[in-house]
Amino acid sequence: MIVVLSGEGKSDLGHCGNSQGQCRTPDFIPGPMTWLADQIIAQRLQYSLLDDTPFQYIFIAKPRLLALEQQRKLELGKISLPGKKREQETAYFHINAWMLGEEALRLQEEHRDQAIAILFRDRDGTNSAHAGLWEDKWNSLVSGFARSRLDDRGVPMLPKPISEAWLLCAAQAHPYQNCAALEDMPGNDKSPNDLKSALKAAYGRNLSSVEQVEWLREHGYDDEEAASQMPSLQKFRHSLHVALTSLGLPPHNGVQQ
Amino acid sequence: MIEQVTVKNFKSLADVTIDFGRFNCFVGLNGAGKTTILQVLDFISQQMRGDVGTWLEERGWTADDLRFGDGVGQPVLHTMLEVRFRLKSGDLLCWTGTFDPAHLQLLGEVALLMTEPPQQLLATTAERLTLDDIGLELTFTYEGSVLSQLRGQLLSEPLREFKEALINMRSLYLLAPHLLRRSSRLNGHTDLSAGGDGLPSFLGKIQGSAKDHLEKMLQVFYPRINGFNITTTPDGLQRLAVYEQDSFVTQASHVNDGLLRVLAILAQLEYDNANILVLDEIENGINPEITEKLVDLLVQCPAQIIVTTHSPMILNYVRDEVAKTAVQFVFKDQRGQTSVKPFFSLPATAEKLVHMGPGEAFVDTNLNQLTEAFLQAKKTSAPLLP
Repeated sequence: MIVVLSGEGKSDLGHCGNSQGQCRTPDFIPGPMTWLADQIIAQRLQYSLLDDTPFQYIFIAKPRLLALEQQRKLELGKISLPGKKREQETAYFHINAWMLGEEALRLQEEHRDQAIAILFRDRDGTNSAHAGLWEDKWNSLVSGFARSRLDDRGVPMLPKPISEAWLLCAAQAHPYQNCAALEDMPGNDKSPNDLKSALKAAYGRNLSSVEQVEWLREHGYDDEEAASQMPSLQKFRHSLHVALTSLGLPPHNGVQQ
Repeated sequence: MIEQVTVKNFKSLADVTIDFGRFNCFVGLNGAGKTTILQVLDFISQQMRGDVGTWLEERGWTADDLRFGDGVGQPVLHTMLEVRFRLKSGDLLCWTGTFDPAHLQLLGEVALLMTEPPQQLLATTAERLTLDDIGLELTFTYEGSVLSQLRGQLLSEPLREFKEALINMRSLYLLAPHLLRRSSRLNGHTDLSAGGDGLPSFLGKIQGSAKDHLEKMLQVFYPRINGFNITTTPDGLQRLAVYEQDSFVTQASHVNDGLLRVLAILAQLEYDNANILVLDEIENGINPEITEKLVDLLVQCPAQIIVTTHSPMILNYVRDEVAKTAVQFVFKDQRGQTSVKPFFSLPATAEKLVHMGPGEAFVDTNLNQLTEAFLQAKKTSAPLLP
């Protein structure tokens, strides 16, 4: 199995330390969201890919995804229009997933190993370029993976409103308490009481992405409990389980997703 | 080439300045004022031809219909027009005048060559005309611009070039299939009207190798078409017929809309000295397979092209770097005033263009929300991208 990852930046899925468009360990520096995904995968594999076989992660940096998007623009017929199947203002997400899905399938061929792909996006609704509803964004990511033919082995990771909400659920003074409310906090760091400031306050200081991973290793993360309160995490968790099931992995806790 | 037009008080164009490039594509919601922009360009062109009365009559308008009215305050009577025109020499010519609806005439007409210092080429008052520093009494009546009455030999080279360019602006913004199909009367007008009326007579002028070339160009779009022919009936009507490869002849009354439009556009560009061509809803009747060829033709041809579209297919075949300035968003504020801004000049739309084609970005954008975003940007003077 290979897991193809692409995100927004260092503080979510991670980044390529070698400034390349695509990387694996040791150049791939995982961020807290990769650690979280790895924990869920480990529940199915009974071991951690990050700890034991980190080369199974292939990270696609944003410039590489952008280059794939540019290539698409030149190809006749590879056009994406809104309609009954896709809302307006969601093409960015749809195309991101479409391109990552195609790249994952190419890497699957290249490595002769089955691939799943995780695409992290957490732009909040304040950016008018992507002002659609969360559900519309999710659906456009799903439809993008479907268009690439990666289908349900493409996993959207779309925290509501941003990844700090998921992390704060565990890091706050009363962990795993009232986490549903975090999904309604402002993601825009220009707003008062925004999630980034709240997470910084919970950690006691501003943690780097590597330090956030260390924090998670040290404190652990009860994804089942957090997901029961935060629908966006639940959707990701469920989607990841479905992808792993489609690879033929044994069910989690005896439950087939 | 027209570089900029400023209009005050022409229908919904209460006060708007529009920048133009070689290829220009106006997009926007229904009723935003796209066609009004094409109308004012045609109106400006008509100033150089004179006979503004007939122009109004053909459209079923009176001069009073031109003015902007939002129900607030006293309506302004006159329409102000200003055109900045880049001459072949590289110099800029600035022409301005105020249209008086009572006399259908441009008042206070001034043309300046924007050199350092600016050079006045033309100025009019109610009684006098000054042409290259020579003053003359205005002893004749006219409609539109005084230039409409002056022969080319009287005009300095910059003014002559400007006048001819505007006269040779071809506005096909009313292009309609039923008019394109209509037979022409022999010895009638040989120009194509804004609606496409007169196509057979117009095509009839094109003979010999020029006709062969036009037919070859048509075959690029429609490979099965061998050519066209104009026949004259005993009662003096000229009719268009199209020949296919198997010698099958189709009379214009049965030819598809797209072919007639493409034929009209090709003929205008190639054989009518049309250095400015204006077309409304360019995509009408055009099947997706030839959209790319049409866009390439319009973007690459030496004439200045001004079109409107609602079609993401048309826009998607425009290269990103062209689209950044060529695709212009037309929108109205709460008072009903039309504004025009480059579609991709907001950071949000500019970012979309990085990830998707211009047509995809256009159709992915909620135009009501975009209107709000532009109005907000105007209010807060948020900087637009260069």
